[in-house]
Amino acid sequence: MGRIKVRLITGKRIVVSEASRGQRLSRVLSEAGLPIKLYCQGRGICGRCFVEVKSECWPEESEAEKGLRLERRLRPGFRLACQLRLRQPLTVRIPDDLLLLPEIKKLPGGISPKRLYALRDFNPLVKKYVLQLSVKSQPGAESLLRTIKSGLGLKELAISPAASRKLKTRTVFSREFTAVIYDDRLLLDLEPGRGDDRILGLALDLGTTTVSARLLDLVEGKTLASASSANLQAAFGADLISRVGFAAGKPVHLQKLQRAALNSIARLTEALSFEARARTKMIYAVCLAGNAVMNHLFLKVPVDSLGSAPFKPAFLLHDPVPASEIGLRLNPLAMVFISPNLGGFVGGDITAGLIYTALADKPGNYLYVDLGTNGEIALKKGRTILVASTAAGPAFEGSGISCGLPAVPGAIEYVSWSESKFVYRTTGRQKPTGLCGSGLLGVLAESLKAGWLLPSGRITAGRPEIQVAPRLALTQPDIRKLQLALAAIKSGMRLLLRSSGLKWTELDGIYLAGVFGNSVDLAQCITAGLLPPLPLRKIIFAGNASLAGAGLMLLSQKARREALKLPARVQHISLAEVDGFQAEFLKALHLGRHYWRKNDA
Amino acid sequence: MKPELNKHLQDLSQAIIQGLVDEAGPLAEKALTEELPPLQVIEQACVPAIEEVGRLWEAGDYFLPELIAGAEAMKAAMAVLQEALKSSGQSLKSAGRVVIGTVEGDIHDIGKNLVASMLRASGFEVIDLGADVKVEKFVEVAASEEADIIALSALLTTTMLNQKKVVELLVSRGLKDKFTVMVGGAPVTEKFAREIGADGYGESAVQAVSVARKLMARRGGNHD
Repeated sequence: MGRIKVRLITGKRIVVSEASRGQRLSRVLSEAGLPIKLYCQGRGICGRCFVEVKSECWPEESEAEKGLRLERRLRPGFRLACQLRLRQPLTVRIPDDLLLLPEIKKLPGGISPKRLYALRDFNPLVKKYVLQLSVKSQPGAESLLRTIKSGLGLKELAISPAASRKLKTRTVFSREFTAVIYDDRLLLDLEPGRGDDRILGLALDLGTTTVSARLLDLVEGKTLASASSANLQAAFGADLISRVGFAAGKPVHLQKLQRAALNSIARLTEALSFEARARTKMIYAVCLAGNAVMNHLFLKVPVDSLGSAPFKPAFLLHDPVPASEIGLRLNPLAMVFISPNLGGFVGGDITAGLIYTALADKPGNYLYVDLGTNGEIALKKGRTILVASTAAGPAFEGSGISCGLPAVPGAIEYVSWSESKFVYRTTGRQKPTGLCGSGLLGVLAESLKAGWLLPSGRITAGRPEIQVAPRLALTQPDIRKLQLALAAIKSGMRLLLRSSGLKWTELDGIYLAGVFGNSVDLAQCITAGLLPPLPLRKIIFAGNASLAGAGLMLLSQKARREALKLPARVQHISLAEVDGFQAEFLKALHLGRHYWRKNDA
Repeated sequence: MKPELNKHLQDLSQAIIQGLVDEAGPLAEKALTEELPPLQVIEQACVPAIEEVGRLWEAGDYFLPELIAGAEAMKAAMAVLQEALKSSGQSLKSAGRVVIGTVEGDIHDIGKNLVASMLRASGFEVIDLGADVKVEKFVEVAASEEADIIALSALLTTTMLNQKKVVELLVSRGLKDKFTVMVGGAPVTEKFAREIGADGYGESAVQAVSVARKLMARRGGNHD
């Protein structure tokens, strides 16, 4: 059968490709090196992968597809890439934001020196020591090792196979050589003379949607560069559960997901090294802080147990692994420290966040909330720490909302209501093309205040929708989705508070981490009802606390030790099984601060 | 609703529409003390009211809390009215008997509870097996309770495959024609329902009621 010619137009280039008859366009795109995001795994139900057919003759359209198209107010000629089957030559334009060629975004910030000082512990994960042997030293392998151990004061030092080989073959035989040591307990390598003295560490926050990375200098303890990019695993499903379903029982799929994660990391690592004028070979240490599913996939550990109740991860603590074994191309000796999981869907990202905020040992009662597709919550009261996860869904990442966007240039990130109109600010100060999480939350807060959105979530005052900017409006179904996302988080906080017999008024502070950028307005969080109405000074915006925590673990042995102790200290709560979950969830669907005021304290 | 409708019936109807759970029962009592026959109260006040709740939901005016409150108010009123029917030797014809549950491996049951409430409010007898229900159990209980419909909920793409397993077990035991299967849950689609051989799919709790009614009508047709 003949091949069909397809012209694929993107913002930057035109690709001419060939397809076999009946092949789906999404598949053709993937094979042409233009993979797109398939939020519903190509089931044709999310309506996110519309492309514009530029040929005069449009392929047929199913009823379901038409419904989705009209919902998004798209012209005839737009088709879902996952449903369109090729029967004739076509020219198609693919919107740039649909392409899975993630932009690498530079991130601001680093570990604040204050934070390190407070920890009073600078002891990086990998260190190099230049050792000089006295003339009297015996050159034998055994005695050399004894000399290294006593010289460094590390009696329990183990030896890696690579270092052992070098000792035996006496490759290192000069009077001066360099010992590379992992976490004060493993001799990784011996280099003759004064080895290249740059030692870099890579902190990773491996998220479902976004991967963030930070390159640190482990000698000086400073941040060199930070960046984030989309997780390439998105091609296999947008949310955690769809990836678990994809990998379950299929080692080949598991491997595909691992490779996608590694590719995402490799791209970032290269960009960061370039920016820091370093080489990836200088990276000796990695700290991985990923949610539970992500760290399983990174290590290629089967995720089947996370696909159904009781949702147990295969491990909480995991031994450090050589980066080369995983397939990360860094220094051949590089080791990966895995931030431990805390149970269920509460993963190493939360451990890192808790370490960064030093929540575990802060006197008082604190909530830690990490907003994302999978919302994770920790409550610290006295000596006890409760953790839980909640399926908030991707609404606050802009997914499933008619005018929603992730925080990309052009996304409205902040709104306020002033002189009877919405005033807004977009990311990158560009023309508005949609709203990201903090903007959506702002619209809820300002509309509640202005009175055309009722706490029940109903748009009132005769309006069918809330117009924010030209051609950008929140519809009633959008509001409903945001209510569901908020309710998941709010009821989660409430149930943890109740489980520990605490009222929100007794909280000394709340840390807000995760999806919202710096543009989030904490007062709006309270007005919309996301957070209890505590005095604003008690609400601390922690940003990407997972990445910062991973960086801290690279630099401080104390931080690493505390992280490893956390799984045994926390108590994991399965929210859906707590008595009164349903009643609490239904109450939490109410918007505004009234929810917190009414129900206790 | 007819304008000349008795004031008591109007009050009861409003109580259900507004989800006033505590008032619906006493208002039903009041209607009975006014010598209104229970069947008339049900047909003229309760049924139109719960239908109005469904309509407001479909229109987007009502959301989950209002829908649940409406169903709860209906339940309170019906408890009173059914008692009265029984003491006068009458009974209400059941709309159908449904065994419902969230499938094995899945502990999310808010959606399932909503469907159960709406079915009950619409005159179905509902046997709720809860969450994380074994495949076997659905079939066993449906057989022992002589159910008409087995309703299966799944909230995860990983657990929705267990809906399929229930259908397969029915087929292997030769019971597929005896029971009607309907499925629902966030990741479930009409297409998936068809693929696994389920008889019906509802996108929301309100739709589930109309799907269940249609399926019952079809069953009636088959038996005749």
